[in-house]
Amino acid sequence: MDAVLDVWFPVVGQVLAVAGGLIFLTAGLGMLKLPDFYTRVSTATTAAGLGVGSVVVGVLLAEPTVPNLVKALVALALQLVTSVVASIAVARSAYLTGAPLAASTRYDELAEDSGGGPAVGADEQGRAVEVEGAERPVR
Amino acid sequence: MIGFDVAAVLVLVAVAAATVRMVRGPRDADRVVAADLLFFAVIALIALLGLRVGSDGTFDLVLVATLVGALSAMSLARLLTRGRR
Repeated sequence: MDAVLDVWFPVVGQVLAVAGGLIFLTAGLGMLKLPDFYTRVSTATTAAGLGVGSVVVGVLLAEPTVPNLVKALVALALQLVTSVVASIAVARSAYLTGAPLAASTRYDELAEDSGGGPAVGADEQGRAVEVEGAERPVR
Repeated sequence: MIGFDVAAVLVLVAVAAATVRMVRGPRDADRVVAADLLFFAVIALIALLGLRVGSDGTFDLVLVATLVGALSAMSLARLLTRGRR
């Protein structure tokens, strides 16, 4: 048992921490490279759930005490529930204020006049087209 | 414990990328999502650096940060629509 605590817990903890760091790196690259706002929200939410989760569990495995376990579990549950709700709220208000969709978006089911049809930036077959003045008015 | 330092460097790269996106914009929404990612990266950095300096309050800070993080994102979302729902 002592060998498990002293040797394997820190090793697994470091692996989890590096995995979380890689998820954050992916989110950072997505921030720079992805074409529109909604895809960027997607990467940021992944980092919020998986990235913070694996980093916190990794640090917990390096200092495995009962108080730390309780705090980390509460923090993880809160993070997994609230970060998703907050990201959906941010994405929703961005859509309401007319953040433009990427030209490659095929379907825009939130558009009131489309009835779930192809997006503003797509033709009838769903192929991407450039559209002037595709922004939605603030409702 | 080199793994935790590597993880901290990776998270710092994400911090830099989010800062670049926040400066570039082009819309307020892009800045809000960059601020969101920046906050989560700071939570991860608190955990990693707290372990590095051997602080006892690491997980207390992480717990409080996760509590207020959603509030900040929600208020930024309200700010985007200028208070309209």
